[in-house]
Amino acid sequence: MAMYYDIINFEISETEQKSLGIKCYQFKDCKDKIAIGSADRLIKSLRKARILYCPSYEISLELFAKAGAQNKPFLISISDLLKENSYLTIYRLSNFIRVARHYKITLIIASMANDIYSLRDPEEAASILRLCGMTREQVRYGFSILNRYLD
Amino acid sequence: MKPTLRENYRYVALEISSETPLAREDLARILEGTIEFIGKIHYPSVMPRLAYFDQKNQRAIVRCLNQGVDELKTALAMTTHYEKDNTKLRIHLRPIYTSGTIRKAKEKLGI
Repeated sequence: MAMYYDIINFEISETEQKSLGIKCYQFKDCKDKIAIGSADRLIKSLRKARILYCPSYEISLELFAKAGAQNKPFLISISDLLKENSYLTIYRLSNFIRVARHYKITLIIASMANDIYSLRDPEEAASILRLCGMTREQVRYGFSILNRYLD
Repeated sequence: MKPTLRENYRYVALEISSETPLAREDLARILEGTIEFIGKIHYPSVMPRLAYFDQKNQRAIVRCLNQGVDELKTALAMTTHYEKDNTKLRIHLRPIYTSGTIRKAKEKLGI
Protein backbone atom coordinates (compact mmCIF):
# COMPACT_ATOMS: atom_id res chain seq x y z
CA MET A 1 0.00 0.00 0.00
CA ALA A 2 1.37 3.44 -0.95
CA MET A 3 2.24 5.69 1.98
CA TYR A 4 0.51 8.99 2.46
CA TYR A 5 0.64 11.72 5.10
CA ASP A 6 -2.07 13.15 7.28
CA ILE A 7 -2.69 15.56 10.16
CA ILE A 8 -4.90 14.23 12.95
CA ASN A 9 -6.25 15.34 16.31
CA PHE A 10 -6.25 12.01 18.15
CA GLU A 11 -3.78 9.39 19.33
CA ILE A 12 -3.01 6.51 16.99
CA SER A 13 -0.33 3.84 17.38
CA GLU A 14 2.54 3.39 14.91
CA THR A 15 1.41 -0.15 14.07
CA GLU A 16 -2.07 1.07 13.24
CA GLN A 17 -0.59 3.83 11.08
CA LYS A 18 1.47 1.24 9.21
CA SER A 19 -1.53 -1.05 8.68
CA LEU A 20 -3.51 1.85 7.23
CA GLY A 21 -0.54 3.02 5.15
CA ILE A 22 -0.39 6.52 6.61
CA LYS A 23 2.13 8.58 8.52
CA CYS A 24 0.25 10.87 10.87
CA TYR A 25 1.33 14.19 12.26
CA GLN A 26 -0.35 15.34 15.43
CA PHE A 27 -2.00 18.72 15.00
CA LYS A 28 -0.80 19.91 18.41
CA ASP A 29 2.83 19.31 17.29
CA CYS A 30 2.40 21.19 14.00
CA LYS A 31 0.53 24.21 15.34
CA ASP A 32 3.59 26.47 15.14
CA LYS A 33 4.10 25.62 11.44
CA ILE A 34 0.48 26.16 10.40
CA ALA A 35 -1.07 29.64 10.43
CA ILE A 36 -4.81 29.45 11.09
CA GLY A 37 -7.32 32.26 10.87
CA SER A 38 -9.13 34.69 8.63
CA ALA A 39 -7.53 36.13 5.51
CA ASP A 40 -6.41 39.32 7.30
CA ARG A 41 -4.74 37.34 10.04
CA LEU A 42 -3.01 35.04 7.54
CA ILE A 43 -1.59 38.04 5.65
CA LYS A 44 0.07 39.22 8.89
CA SER A 45 1.55 35.80 9.70
CA LEU A 46 2.53 34.95 6.13
CA ARG A 47 6.28 35.11 6.67
CA LYS A 48 6.40 32.94 9.83
CA ALA A 49 4.11 30.13 8.72
CA ARG A 50 4.96 27.20 6.47
CA ILE A 51 1.34 26.29 5.74
CA LEU A 52 -1.74 28.53 5.67
CA TYR A 53 -5.17 27.36 6.76
CA CYS A 54 -8.30 29.48 6.42
CA PRO A 55 -11.24 27.46 7.88
CA SER A 56 -13.83 29.76 6.32
CA TYR A 57 -12.18 29.35 2.86
CA GLU A 58 -12.73 33.01 2.13
CA ILE A 59 -11.24 34.48 -1.02
CA SER A 60 -8.74 37.29 -0.52
CA LEU A 61 -6.94 38.24 -3.70
CA GLU A 62 -4.24 40.03 -1.72
CA LEU A 63 -3.57 36.88 0.36
CA PHE A 64 -3.48 34.66 -2.71
CA ALA A 65 -1.11 37.00 -4.55
CA LYS A 66 1.30 37.21 -1.58
CA ALA A 67 1.09 33.49 -0.82
CA GLY A 68 1.72 32.66 -4.47
CA ALA A 69 4.75 34.99 -4.58
CA GLN A 70 6.23 33.35 -1.46
CA ASN A 71 5.26 29.79 -2.49
CA LYS A 72 3.19 29.20 0.64
CA PRO A 73 0.68 26.36 0.37
CA PHE A 74 -2.89 26.32 1.65
CA LEU A 75 -4.35 23.50 3.70
CA ILE A 76 -7.71 21.90 2.90
CA SER A 77 -9.32 19.95 5.74
CA ILE A 78 -11.60 17.04 4.85
CA SER A 79 -13.27 17.17 8.28
CA ASP A 80 -14.71 20.60 7.34
CA LEU A 81 -16.68 18.83 4.60
CA LEU A 82 -17.95 16.06 6.87
CA LYS A 83 -19.81 18.34 9.26
CA GLU A 84 -23.58 18.80 9.13
CA ASN A 85 -24.87 21.16 6.44
CA SER A 86 -21.55 21.09 4.64
CA TYR A 87 -23.10 22.15 1.34
CA LEU A 88 -22.14 25.78 2.04
CA THR A 89 -18.57 24.75 2.82
CA ILE A 90 -18.44 22.75 -0.42
CA TYR A 91 -19.61 25.83 -2.32
CA ARG A 92 -17.03 28.10 -0.64
CA LEU A 93 -14.28 25.56 -1.09
CA SER A 94 -15.01 25.07 -4.79
CA ASN A 95 -14.67 28.85 -5.33
CA PHE A 96 -11.53 28.85 -3.17
CA ILE A 97 -9.93 26.08 -5.23
CA ARG A 98 -10.83 27.78 -8.50
CA VAL A 99 -9.16 31.06 -7.48
CA ALA A 100 -6.17 29.27 -5.90
CA ARG A 101 -5.63 27.43 -9.18
CA HIS A 102 -5.58 30.77 -11.02
CA TYR A 103 -2.82 32.03 -8.68
CA LYS A 104 -0.95 28.70 -8.99
CA ILE A 105 -1.07 28.03 -5.25
CA THR A 106 -0.16 24.59 -3.88
CA LEU A 107 -3.01 22.91 -2.05
CA ILE A 108 -2.22 20.45 0.73
CA ILE A 109 -4.97 18.10 1.85
CA ALA A 110 -5.34 16.51 5.29
CA SER A 111 -8.23 14.87 7.05
CA MET A 112 -7.74 16.72 10.41
CA ALA A 113 -9.69 13.85 11.94
CA ASN A 114 -10.78 13.89 15.59
CA ASP A 115 -11.33 10.12 15.71
CA ILE A 116 -10.59 7.04 13.62
CA TYR A 117 -14.05 7.16 12.02
CA SER A 118 -13.28 10.54 10.43
CA LEU A 119 -10.06 9.38 8.77
CA ARG A 120 -10.35 9.46 5.00
CA ASP A 121 -7.75 8.00 2.65
CA PRO A 122 -6.84 9.78 -0.63
CA GLU A 123 -9.35 7.77 -2.67
CA GLU A 124 -12.25 8.72 -0.41
CA ALA A 125 -11.04 12.32 -0.21
CA ALA A 126 -10.92 12.38 -4.01
CA SER A 127 -14.57 11.26 -4.09
CA ILE A 128 -15.52 14.14 -1.81
CA LEU A 129 -13.30 16.80 -3.41
CA ARG A 130 -14.63 15.84 -6.83
CA LEU A 131 -17.60 18.00 -5.81
CA CYS A 132 -15.22 20.95 -5.39
CA GLY A 133 -13.57 20.57 -8.78
CA MET A 134 -10.41 18.66 -7.91
CA THR A 135 -9.21 15.64 -9.84
CA ARG A 136 -8.05 12.37 -8.29
CA GLU A 137 -4.43 13.07 -9.18
CA GLN A 138 -4.54 16.53 -7.59
CA VAL A 139 -5.92 15.06 -4.35
CA ARG A 140 -3.29 12.32 -4.26
CA TYR A 141 -0.58 14.93 -4.82
CA GLY A 142 -2.06 17.09 -2.07
CA PHE A 143 -1.78 14.19 0.38
CA SER A 144 1.74 13.26 -0.67
CA ILE A 145 3.51 16.60 -0.16
CA LEU A 146 2.55 17.26 3.47
CA ASN A 147 5.85 15.94 4.81
CA ARG A 148 7.84 18.53 2.83
CA TYR A 149 6.39 21.31 4.95
CA LEU A 150 6.15 19.60 8.32
CA ASP A 151 9.47 17.73 8.59
CA MET B 1 -33.38 -8.63 -22.66
CA LYS B 2 -30.79 -7.59 -25.22
CA PRO B 3 -27.37 -6.80 -23.69
CA THR B 4 -27.49 -3.25 -25.03
CA LEU B 5 -30.85 -2.63 -23.37
CA ARG B 6 -30.00 -4.25 -20.06
CA GLU B 7 -28.99 -2.06 -17.11
CA ASN B 8 -25.34 -2.40 -16.10
CA TYR B 9 -24.53 -2.73 -12.44
CA ARG B 10 -21.39 -2.25 -10.40
CA TYR B 11 -20.64 -3.99 -7.12
CA VAL B 12 -18.78 -1.94 -4.51
CA ALA B 13 -17.03 -3.90 -1.76
CA LEU B 14 -17.10 -2.04 1.55
CA GLU B 15 -15.29 -2.27 4.85
CA ILE B 16 -17.36 -1.04 7.80
CA SER B 17 -15.96 0.36 11.02
CA SER B 18 -18.40 1.59 13.65
CA GLU B 19 -18.84 1.99 17.38
CA THR B 20 -21.22 -0.98 17.49
CA PRO B 21 -21.42 -3.79 14.90
CA LEU B 22 -24.04 -3.11 12.25
CA ALA B 23 -26.84 -5.47 11.27
CA ARG B 24 -28.05 -6.03 7.71
CA GLU B 25 -31.13 -3.85 8.27
CA ASP B 26 -28.96 -1.03 9.65
CA LEU B 27 -26.79 -0.95 6.56
CA ALA B 28 -29.82 -1.12 4.27
CA ARG B 29 -31.24 1.90 6.08
CA ILE B 30 -27.92 3.75 5.76
CA LEU B 31 -27.93 3.11 2.02
CA GLU B 32 -31.46 4.50 1.75
CA GLY B 33 -30.22 7.49 3.73
CA THR B 34 -27.62 8.30 1.08
CA ILE B 35 -30.47 10.07 -0.74
CA GLU B 36 -29.62 12.98 1.57
CA PHE B 37 -26.29 13.38 -0.20
CA ILE B 38 -27.17 12.18 -3.67
CA GLY B 39 -30.50 13.99 -3.91
CA LYS B 40 -33.85 12.90 -5.26
CA ILE B 41 -32.88 13.91 -8.79
CA HIS B 42 -29.75 11.78 -9.05
CA TYR B 43 -30.90 8.87 -6.85
CA PRO B 44 -32.58 6.98 -9.74
CA SER B 45 -29.23 6.91 -11.56
CA VAL B 46 -27.52 5.35 -8.52
CA MET B 47 -30.15 3.06 -6.89
CA PRO B 48 -27.91 1.50 -4.21
CA ARG B 49 -28.96 -1.90 -2.88
CA LEU B 50 -27.30 -4.23 -0.41
CA ALA B 51 -26.18 -7.33 -2.33
CA TYR B 52 -24.16 -9.16 0.34
CA PHE B 53 -23.45 -8.61 4.03
CA ASP B 54 -20.94 -10.31 6.30
CA GLN B 55 -21.97 -9.44 9.85
CA LYS B 56 -19.04 -11.23 11.50
CA ASN B 57 -16.30 -9.33 9.64
CA GLN B 58 -18.42 -6.21 9.06
CA ARG B 59 -18.00 -6.19 5.30
CA ALA B 60 -20.59 -5.70 2.59
CA ILE B 61 -21.15 -5.51 -1.14
CA VAL B 62 -23.42 -2.78 -2.49
CA ARG B 63 -24.92 -2.92 -5.96
CA CYS B 64 -25.51 0.28 -7.89
CA LEU B 65 -25.93 1.40 -11.48
CA ASN B 66 -22.71 1.98 -13.39
CA GLN B 67 -23.30 5.69 -13.97
CA GLY B 68 -23.82 6.29 -10.25
CA VAL B 69 -20.67 4.68 -8.84
CA ASP B 70 -18.83 7.97 -8.23
CA GLU B 71 -21.84 9.52 -6.54
CA LEU B 72 -22.32 6.47 -4.35
CA LYS B 73 -18.65 6.56 -3.28
CA THR B 74 -18.96 10.27 -2.48
CA ALA B 75 -22.10 9.64 -0.41
CA LEU B 76 -20.42 6.79 1.47
CA ALA B 77 -17.32 8.90 2.17
CA MET B 78 -19.50 11.71 3.54
CA THR B 79 -21.53 9.41 5.81
CA THR B 80 -20.19 9.90 9.32
CA HIS B 81 -23.11 9.05 11.62
CA TYR B 82 -25.94 6.57 11.86
CA GLU B 83 -28.98 7.04 14.08
CA LYS B 84 -30.13 4.00 16.05
CA ASP B 85 -32.46 4.01 19.07
CA ASN B 86 -32.28 7.81 19.23
CA THR B 87 -28.49 7.77 19.50
CA LYS B 88 -25.97 8.90 16.92
CA LEU B 89 -23.31 6.26 16.27
CA ARG B 90 -20.17 7.08 14.37
CA ILE B 91 -19.47 4.94 11.31
CA HIS B 92 -17.01 4.81 8.46
CA LEU B 93 -17.87 3.02 5.23
CA ARG B 94 -14.71 2.54 3.21
CA PRO B 95 -14.97 1.34 -0.40
CA ILE B 96 -12.24 -1.19 -1.14
CA TYR B 97 -12.99 -2.40 -4.65
CA THR B 98 -15.47 -1.80 -7.45
CA SER B 99 -16.28 -4.60 -9.86
CA GLY B 100 -18.72 -5.45 -12.61
CA THR B 101 -19.35 -8.86 -11.10
CA ILE B 102 -20.26 -9.83 -7.57
CA ARG B 103 -17.87 -12.79 -7.75
CA LYS B 104 -14.79 -10.59 -8.13
CA ALA B 105 -15.99 -8.28 -5.36
CA LYS B 106 -16.35 -11.29 -3.04
CA GLU B 107 -12.84 -12.43 -3.95
CA LYS B 108 -11.44 -9.05 -2.95
CA LEU B 109 -13.27 -9.28 0.37
CA GLY B 110 -11.71 -12.68 0.92
CA ILE B 111 -14.92 -14.67 0.81
